[in-house]
Amino acid sequence: MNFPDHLIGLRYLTKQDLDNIFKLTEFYKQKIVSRKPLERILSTKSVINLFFEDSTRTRTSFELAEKKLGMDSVNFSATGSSLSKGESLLDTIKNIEAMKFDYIVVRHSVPGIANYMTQHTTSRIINAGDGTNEHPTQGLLDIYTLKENFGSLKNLNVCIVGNISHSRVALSNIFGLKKLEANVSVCGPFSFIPKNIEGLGVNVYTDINEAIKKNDVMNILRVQLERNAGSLLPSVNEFNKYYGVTKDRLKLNPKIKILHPGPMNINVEIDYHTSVSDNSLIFEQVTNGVAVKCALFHLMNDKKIS
Amino acid sequence: MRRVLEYTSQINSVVIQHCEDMSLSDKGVMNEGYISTVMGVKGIPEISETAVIARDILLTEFVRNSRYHIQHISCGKSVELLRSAKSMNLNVTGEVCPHHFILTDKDCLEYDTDAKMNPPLRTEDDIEKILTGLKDDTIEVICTDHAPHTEYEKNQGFYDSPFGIVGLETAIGLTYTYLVKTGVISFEQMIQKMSVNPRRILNLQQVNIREGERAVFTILDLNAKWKVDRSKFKSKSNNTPFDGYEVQCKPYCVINKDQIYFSKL
Ligand SMILES: NC(=O)OP(=O)(O)O
Repeated sequence: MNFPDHLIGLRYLTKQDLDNIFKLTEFYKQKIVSRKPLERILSTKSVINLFFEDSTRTRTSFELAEKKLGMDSVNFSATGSSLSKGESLLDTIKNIEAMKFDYIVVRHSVPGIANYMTQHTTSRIINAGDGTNEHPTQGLLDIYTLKENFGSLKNLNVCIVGNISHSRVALSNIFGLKKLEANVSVCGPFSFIPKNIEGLGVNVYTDINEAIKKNDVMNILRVQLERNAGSLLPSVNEFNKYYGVTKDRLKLNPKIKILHPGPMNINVEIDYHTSVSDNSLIFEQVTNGVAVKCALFHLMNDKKIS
Repeated sequence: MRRVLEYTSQINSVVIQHCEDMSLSDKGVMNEGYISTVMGVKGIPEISETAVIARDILLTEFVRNSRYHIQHISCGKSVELLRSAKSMNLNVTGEVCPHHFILTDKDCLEYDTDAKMNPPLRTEDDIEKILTGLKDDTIEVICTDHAPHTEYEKNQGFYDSPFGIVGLETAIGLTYTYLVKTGVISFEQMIQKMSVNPRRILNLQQVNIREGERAVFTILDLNAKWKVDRSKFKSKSNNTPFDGYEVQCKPYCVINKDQIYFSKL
């Protein structure tokens, strides 16, 4: 089966698509950690990293993967663009379309913007985070990191903690993990849990201690103060007290593994100790982010895994 | 609202309310529920509509002789509130648009801005209660909430595109097809809800077809089967989620101010 033309969300991928990406990710991961050069298999292709929202990890790892594979890679960020002169989103996109990039990697604050790009351009679209909808490459790198650690995802107990309602990372993780038959749950105050989340086949924990005891993995989300998450809480200190994953709480389940997509709010959803502890896979996630993106471009270009 | 009801009660006027608590809507753009969760989109909860209706019903009871009309009902619960207001003999009426008894929030999937309206498309459960309310005449009016927007405006993504769809061209065909043909209401009820009741609520003269009257009416071809084609709309805008729908019953012509306007739908 062919890989889809666009990567809009893990909601649209099959288990086979995920398995194919992970096979190639393993190959690229080895090359990257041993600092071996990659075959420049996409040297005839061009790509623009169209970032309407800020990013450290996603944009940098995309650019690195693109360059490792030999692509002509261009960066666009909203700051410094003609958006400040009042140019509309649609006109901006029509101009990008006119430059005939083969791939567009897009990040924007509005859910559905990756679908929108497929309607207004002829490029292959990769969603690098559309508002509170999906962040598929984050989902892929999170799941790959777990696969690397645990071998199989089947029946693995993964709990996503914190600001679920503002999180594109949560949705991509839920869609991807469910396809690989993991047991997925969420934990947080009800003001952070979207309506009918149980409909996605996830359990809801309100007690973080119980969630830590019963799970193999805690994927800790940032409290998205930039999306006004603060208005859903009495205070971030209170959140830390009742839902923060901390040094003391790690003792409840010493074998638990910790993920965090970044950027972290230290002493809100996680403390520094936890982020650098042996339980933490946080920086492994970032390395895997580069490998996953190499695998993704490879697969989108080839369509079939050879 | 109390003061508005007091003032209008004195002049036998009706207060027509878009029932929405903006703080509960909190910048939501579609129904809050399973579909909005799957789409990662900020939702407008049912309570944003029902809380205002419940409060206003109590105010209508509180202010003697006041009259209150609920615009474009989207929630099943609102129909129940309206029914209870009527059972208290209050002067409260309500209306519904075809999109709220035909479409659901599933039509927003894939971020289709032609399915973005306010109040938002709700669920099958809501449609069921709305149909019951239409059948038992709790809901006395079928309206359109006609909201034209240009293609450019509607092409700004799911958050920044404005709410609303056009409804004038499709109201008759959709109502006949989805309510009369399915046996939910009779054709006579359709005429009541689309012409007689709105005129009564608004204190407008009823249409009388007889010698000496000025002709103001629409002639319908009940048997005409047609396909909604947005490019044939007379409105300057054609933002509709019903493009391509197969319907029955077509406005044949409109007679108004001594002119006959034939439909080109
Ligand atoms: N995880 C993640 O998306 O980080 P950035 O926002 O820095 O790209």
